[in-house]
Amino acid sequence: MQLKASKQISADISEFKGRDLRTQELRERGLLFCVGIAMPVLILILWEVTTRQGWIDELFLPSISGIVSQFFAIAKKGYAGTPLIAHVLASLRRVFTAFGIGTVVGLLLGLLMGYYKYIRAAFYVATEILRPIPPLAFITLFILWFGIGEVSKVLIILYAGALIVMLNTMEGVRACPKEKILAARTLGANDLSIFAFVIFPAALPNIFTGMRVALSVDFGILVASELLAGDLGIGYIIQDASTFFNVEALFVGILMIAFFGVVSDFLLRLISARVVHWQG
Amino acid sequence: MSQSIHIPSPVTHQPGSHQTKPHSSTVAQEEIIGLDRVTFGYSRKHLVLQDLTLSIQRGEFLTLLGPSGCGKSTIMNLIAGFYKPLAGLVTHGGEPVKGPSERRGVVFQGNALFDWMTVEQNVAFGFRFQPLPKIEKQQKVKSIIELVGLRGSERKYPYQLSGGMRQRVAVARSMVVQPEILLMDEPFAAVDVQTREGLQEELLKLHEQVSGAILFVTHSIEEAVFLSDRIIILDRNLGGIYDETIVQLPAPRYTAMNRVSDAFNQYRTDLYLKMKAIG
Repeated sequence: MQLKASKQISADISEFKGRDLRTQELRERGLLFCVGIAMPVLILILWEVTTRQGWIDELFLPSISGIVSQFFAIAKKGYAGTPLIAHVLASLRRVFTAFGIGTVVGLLLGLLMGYYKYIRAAFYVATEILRPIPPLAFITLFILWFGIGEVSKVLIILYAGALIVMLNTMEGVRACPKEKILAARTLGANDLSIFAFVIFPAALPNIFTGMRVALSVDFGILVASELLAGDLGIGYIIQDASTFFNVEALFVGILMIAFFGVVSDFLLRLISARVVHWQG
Repeated sequence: MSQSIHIPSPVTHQPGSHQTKPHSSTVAQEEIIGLDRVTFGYSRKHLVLQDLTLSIQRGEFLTLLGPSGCGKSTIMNLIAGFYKPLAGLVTHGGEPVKGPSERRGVVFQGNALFDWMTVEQNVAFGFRFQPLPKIEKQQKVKSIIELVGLRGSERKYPYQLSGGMRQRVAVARSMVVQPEILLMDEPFAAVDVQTREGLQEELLKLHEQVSGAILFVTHSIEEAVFLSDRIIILDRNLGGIYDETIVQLPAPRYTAMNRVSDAFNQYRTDLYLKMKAIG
């Protein structure tokens, strides 16, 4: 018997049944991707066809083309006498001011509460009571306390996000394996170094998870706070359009929130993957 | 069972095997770590150790062997300074141990590397807190990385390494700062047998180069015999010393022959029977 090159051998096996695992896996992945794309496209087509044909009343569901043309109309003429960009910027400024400050506040509180048992104990009851309360329940209270302007809007968003970042940061700190802390200590690190080089980086994956959840919640609170008062912002467009049954404009508002929510989450995910590269 | 001290029972009679490490009974000994009638328990009612007296000599390789729950890890934690004794005294160079110190290194079973740092940064971590010239630090890090066979992996992160490689980093990180004693609590328990043997051999080589003592905890009799100058078997009952064996195998200790020699087997059998006796 002569030795054959492996290619030759595989060519010789005539009754090869089925595909190898690698090929199967690739095919499956391709198929899954196609399904993921096909489904939303199908829904969009169905949406457009049913609305265009008048099978669904435009008052309930406007056609996609109608929404798009409404978007360009608003982009051109503005909404309620204010340019669209001003609405968008007002909303984004609110949400990112609140998210930024909220993250810093939540991070600091979370680190302290995670590391120092006594601080955690001191705030335990308060956080356990606040945790299950939907932040929206506080909106009118915040307006009462801080006025109807920017401050109450930003503060309610800030509160909602900070609480989430704080709880996640605290969990991250507490989940830091004891061995890592002890190892650092036996290598001569003091409390501050352990905090900076061990506990904080160990909590980073949780911190980023918290930030992503907080950001998506923040967008929700943003719209709610803008629904309630004011004449500027995407939430205001949604609220105003609803009052006048301008369903196309309503959809423009909803889709813009979706757009900025998705984009900002995507960016945060990119940053997260960069920073906590050792995870997953 | 009473606390009994045995002087080595199996003696090697191989030609040319008289060379032993300097810290066997022939050389004047100097205590580096001392436990003086140490009692410890998580509560006063449930003691783990009672009146344990133990002395570790400068530079020796001492292994604690014993059934689970006999207090091996507790002894480590007391020496490291993670725990305080309920009674008695733990001393390092004659001074009472007050808490963790960089003079006593610890290698954990796993999970102790900093995942966000490269191999090089992990190894150099202890130097952040030492006032040495930068060049000297770099040289020491470089040479120990080479010694444990991690050259080429300096820029890698722990998650990119195998379990054995990660433990090499952990050992290097603890050893590079030259602690007077290195405490190793089943450091190789989580790696496969082949990798484990390699790690043991490297540890012996490192121990030759770096002068500190090593206190090693293991379940494995083979591991204990291969590595140690002295093996202490702890009793199941409150961590008393059941037996002490001095191991004399031909130098260099890290040769594979030392795993299969008659002397090795003699020690192994002997220790096995003793372990069996305490159940």
